[in-house]
Amino acid sequence: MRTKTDRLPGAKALRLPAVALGLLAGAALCLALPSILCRGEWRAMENTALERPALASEEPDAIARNPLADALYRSRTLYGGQDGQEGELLNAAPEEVRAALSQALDALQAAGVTDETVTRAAADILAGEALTAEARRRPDGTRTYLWEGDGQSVRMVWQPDLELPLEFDVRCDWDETLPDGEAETGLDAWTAFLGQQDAGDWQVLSGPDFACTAYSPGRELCLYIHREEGRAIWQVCSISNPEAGELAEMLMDYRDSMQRWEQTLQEAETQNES
Amino acid sequence: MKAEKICALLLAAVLAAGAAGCASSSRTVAVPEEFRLQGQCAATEKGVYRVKNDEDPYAFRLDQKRIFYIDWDGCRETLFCTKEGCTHDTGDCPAWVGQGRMFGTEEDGSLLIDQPAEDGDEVWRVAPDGSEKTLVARCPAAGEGDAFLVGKNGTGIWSVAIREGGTYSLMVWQQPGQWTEVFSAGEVFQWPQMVRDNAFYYETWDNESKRATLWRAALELSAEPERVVEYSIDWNRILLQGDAVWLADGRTGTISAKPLDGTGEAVAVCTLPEQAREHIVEPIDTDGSRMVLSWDGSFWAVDLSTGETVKIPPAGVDASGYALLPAYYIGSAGGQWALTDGYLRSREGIQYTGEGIQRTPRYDAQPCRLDREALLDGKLSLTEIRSDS
Repeated sequence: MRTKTDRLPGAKALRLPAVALGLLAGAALCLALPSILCRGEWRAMENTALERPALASEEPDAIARNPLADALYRSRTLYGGQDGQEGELLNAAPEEVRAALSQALDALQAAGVTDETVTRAAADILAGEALTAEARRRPDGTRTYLWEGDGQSVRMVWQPDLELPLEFDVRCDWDETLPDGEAETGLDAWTAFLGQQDAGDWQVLSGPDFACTAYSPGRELCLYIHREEGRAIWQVCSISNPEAGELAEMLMDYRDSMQRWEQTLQEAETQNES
Repeated sequence: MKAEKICALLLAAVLAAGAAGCASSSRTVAVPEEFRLQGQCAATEKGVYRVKNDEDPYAFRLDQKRIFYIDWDGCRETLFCTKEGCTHDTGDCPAWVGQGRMFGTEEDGSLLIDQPAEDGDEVWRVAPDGSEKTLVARCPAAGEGDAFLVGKNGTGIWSVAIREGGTYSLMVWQQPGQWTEVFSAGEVFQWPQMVRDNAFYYETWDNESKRATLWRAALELSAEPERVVEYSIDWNRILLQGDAVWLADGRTGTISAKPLDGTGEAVAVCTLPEQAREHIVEPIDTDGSRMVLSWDGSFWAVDLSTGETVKIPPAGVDASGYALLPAYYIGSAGGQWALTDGYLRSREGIQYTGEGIQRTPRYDAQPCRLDREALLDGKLSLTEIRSDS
């Protein structure tokens, strides 16, 4: 059974079986839903206008001196959120898309960012046929490259001036092709690859087990690494100090939700077994 | 792992949706005998009481929640404490909720607060003027398992205990230290809907047959669950409003109603236009002759006698140019409560999706007064509530 997407603007479309909905209902209830629901509520009261946390003209020196931090800060303050935008489709042949992704993968592998498992998985995906192979230009000048096959993809956000990937995302729905990994083991390599090892103020944020997040208040840079079955992501973005506080909450919320969900699932399984 | 993650995401989505439903207000409906089980708010003729944490967002702590009061006339929000010399940061402050929650109002305007304690929960009554709070009862100890409070009446304080494996029991606390099980539903998944006129309404789900059932149980010692209506999990959404449960069928576009006391059959009231089909249609509010519904991300007003629908336009745009739409809590029962949460205001911010960090417009529920009459007529007008906090 399928229904059309019914959601408010800004909400994510989610599909789930009714069983999951039922589990969800039970889980939500068990979690004493009301006690944790109002996190967004008070924020809404205090933030009564659009918040652009900083202006390009107010860029701190510590950020302006660092090319990556500078580029991401300017993108953030001048262009805002671009994650929901597709960007302008470029006239790129599939081989060009493949070459851009392969070169980035080679560089990441050489720097020890992608481990052997991810490198092999990504290389295999890129060696296969693509149902979609495209390049796009986003308003801030960054490029996105996508090589997407059946249930698998390699995607990258590329900063052409710095010749750096800002995001590298390998997805494979067949778990055995891209097994679980340790997210935090790649943090130093990812930091060094981006030339940010000298920031001196990196803070690792608590979050779900499959992710590792670090934040530099001075450069307002956030590094994110994600490793779980079928998915590996490296990401760098610019977020303000207050946003980093919010992110820390979101990560902890997510971790707690995961733990509670697993607990509920175990209880349901126990009951089914009995 | 993936299935778990999807469900966790969904859980987060429900939590987020619930967050949008935290605030509630309605001038047109007397609420004291009818409070919403998931709410952190209570609306009365005088105004709205709501629980929130107003501390520095970057030092956010769950244990610092307090009650705020929004008066209808001034539309200003103030801390709900008039106790002389109170510093508002300890448990004896009438506004202090800590990690607890508000779960209802009493006829005299007192608020009932549920606060976690070392050996379970404590129920406090806060005076209508915010001058004092008194301990009413202690709830089951942790060893009894999880429970949530349902309400209070002359018989006692009512709760639902969640047993191992997810089955629920309706319990009543008649005197300190004595909880009595009234009945056990023996169902795994239930969704409490509301308490009205001393009756507790809840849903059970049969995931194999994809059918849900709405039950009612009188809050009395001899209570037995009574079936009110059964419907499809996939296609039906319900609204408990007035003396009826309203069902919206997204597959057929039919709106039907059945008395809340479970008597009679569900009667088709009208049929929605073709454009509503194959969507999940959420009934949000009704006065019996008109109804506000939502489907496909939009809000609609329908004349229940003809089925004629009018799309409710946004109430302008916010500072970043995004449409101002009503906020509501998906799946909640009781339309006034849901619809009067406020409107959605966008702001740009970061989101953690579980698979990365995104910078996108975010929609937060901004509490406000909505003109219910206008909404039922297919219009949207709102009055901002200012905060003194």
